[in-house]
Amino acid sequence: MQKTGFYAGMSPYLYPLYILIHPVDGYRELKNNKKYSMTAANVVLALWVLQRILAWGYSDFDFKTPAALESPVDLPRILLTTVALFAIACVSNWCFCTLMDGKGRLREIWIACAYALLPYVLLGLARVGLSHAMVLDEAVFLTYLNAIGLLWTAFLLFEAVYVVHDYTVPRAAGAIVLTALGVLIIAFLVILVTGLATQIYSFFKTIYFEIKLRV
Amino acid sequence: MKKIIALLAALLCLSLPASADYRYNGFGEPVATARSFTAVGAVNGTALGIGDFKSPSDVFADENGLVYILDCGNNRVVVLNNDLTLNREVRPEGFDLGEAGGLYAAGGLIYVAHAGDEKIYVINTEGETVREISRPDSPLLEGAAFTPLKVLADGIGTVYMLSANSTQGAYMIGADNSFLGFFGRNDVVLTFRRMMELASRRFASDEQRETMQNFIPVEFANFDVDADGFIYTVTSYSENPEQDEMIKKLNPMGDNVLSKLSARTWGDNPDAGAYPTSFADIAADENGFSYALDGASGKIFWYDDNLSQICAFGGSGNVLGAFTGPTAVETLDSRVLVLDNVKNSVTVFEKTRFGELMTEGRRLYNSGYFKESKDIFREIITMDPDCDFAWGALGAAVYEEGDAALAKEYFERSRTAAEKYSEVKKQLRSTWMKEHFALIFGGVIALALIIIAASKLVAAKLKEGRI
Repeated sequence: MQKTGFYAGMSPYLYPLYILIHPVDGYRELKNNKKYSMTAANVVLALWVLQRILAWGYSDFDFKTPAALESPVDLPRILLTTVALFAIACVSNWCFCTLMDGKGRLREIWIACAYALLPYVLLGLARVGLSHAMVLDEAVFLTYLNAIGLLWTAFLLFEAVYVVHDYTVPRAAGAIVLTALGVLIIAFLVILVTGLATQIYSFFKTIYFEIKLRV
Repeated sequence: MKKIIALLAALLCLSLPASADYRYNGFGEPVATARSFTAVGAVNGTALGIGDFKSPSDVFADENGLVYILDCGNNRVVVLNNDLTLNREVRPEGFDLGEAGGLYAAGGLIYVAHAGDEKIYVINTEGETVREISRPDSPLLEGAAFTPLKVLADGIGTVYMLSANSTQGAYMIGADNSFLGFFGRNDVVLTFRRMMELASRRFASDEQRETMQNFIPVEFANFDVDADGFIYTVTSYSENPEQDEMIKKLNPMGDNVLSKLSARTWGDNPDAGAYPTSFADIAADENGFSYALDGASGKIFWYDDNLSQICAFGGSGNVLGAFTGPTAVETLDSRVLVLDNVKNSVTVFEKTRFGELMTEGRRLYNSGYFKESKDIFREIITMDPDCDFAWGALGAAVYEEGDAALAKEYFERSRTAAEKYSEVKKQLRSTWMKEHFALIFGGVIALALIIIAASKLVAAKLKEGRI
């Protein structure tokens, strides 16, 4: 194992924080030194879910969306748009990149991409807190905060795909576009299969009741 | 024909739920509310002992509290006292009321807009014609229709008239029967769809262009004048009730005095799945509150003196308080009269306690008397606990009294007063910062020191490779 750099001896649990500030070096070392931690990745995902719940239920009144004012937290919906979306994106990326000579394994993709979400999640949590201190005149700061988080995360995601699969820059960009397409295809298939499964279920249910009521 | 209408009405009754008062909350959703008006009775010709009304077309209450019903089919104007008992019948001499559509009364004179004769007749209570307005001789009126549908007049003899097939607004006719000019008029709002159509017109051939639709403003369906001389107009059709001014409040210059900044939906909200509203008439009461009648659904939309919608009542059906052929609405003191030309009756609505509180509360609040309106809104929220307007008004009242924390709570309960909530929050924040300045200042310095120390410590440990 090759030990390079100042933070080489750092614990894998703190590694996401290191990547946060040193994305290029961080991902390079992640790949070279195998500094993957599934636990740390899942903690980031859990934080993402927590951030969404807090933003829905605990933002201050003047920063709540009309939907959040009207209905309580919808956990299935939040899980679907965070963890499930992330899983689909990872699988989609793995599918395409395996075909495109990518070096990354599914586990590595999952962990590297989860680390990349950290700036968006942390700034999102900060936004929930700041909503209690800020007033509507200053709402533009929170919007900037959100935009910074998104851009940062987008850059980290790109870096993650670029390093984990050992791609060139244009190839990584193409892989990301294909991944987005793959997400749409998988979502379509999931909806199709769910629809069919519901129909099959109701078909057998009808047969069951038909027999039960007549025999 | 009547049977068909009755059948259709019966079918409508079956398909619609029993109507109840509702209002739109801050999110544009209809919610049930306490009743503001109840139908207490209906006036018809038989009960008055003068024989049934026959296709009555308009009702008007004058400044003395007399009610005039334009009973065209029987060629008479029925005058009722303030307590809705018969005062007299006026039968016009020299002309037939057959196709008269609109009526106005002031100073003992009755103005009748007669589309069939293309004339406005002014008759006295004996039925004698004292003034007759026919098409004025004016170059401005060349090519314009002159088919009087509705009529109003002011104190100095100027007559305002709405004509069929005219998009120019109301016609102003002076005391000497000369044409003074047009008044009001709707504008065509430039929407994206219309812009696209205008662009495509540039590339069309002359033949294609001829078949294309022109953008012309929609004509006024009806109008009314309030005690201060403002004229309220209604338009029966709008492609986008969020932007178009389906109801206008015109000053004597003909300008709409309503704020264009606040977006409002006139009548029902099509986004909430309602049918588009088709206003047939409007009436303003002594407080400047107004009542707009939907000629299709029989609903009456109640607006306060800022023309913000309070609630909707009425509906379609055969029971008391619902309509099959609603044509005109009028206010009489605090009562609301609705003329139905299929049921041939005038339904009388009276304000409930809730309606009275709402009137008084909104009137005070809109004139800036927040503290004075507090007790009223407190009572309102015991009857309609989700009323966002009431919570917002209560917030404004306690804020004026100096209780910012409670005001913040009330604004939050209103769920729509985010701006005011923010304002109070800002004030509370600056007070807090002034009180705790030493703490904040010290805290910031301490935090900075801690961060510097901690980062040095962590860096040192990392160098040793111990984390």
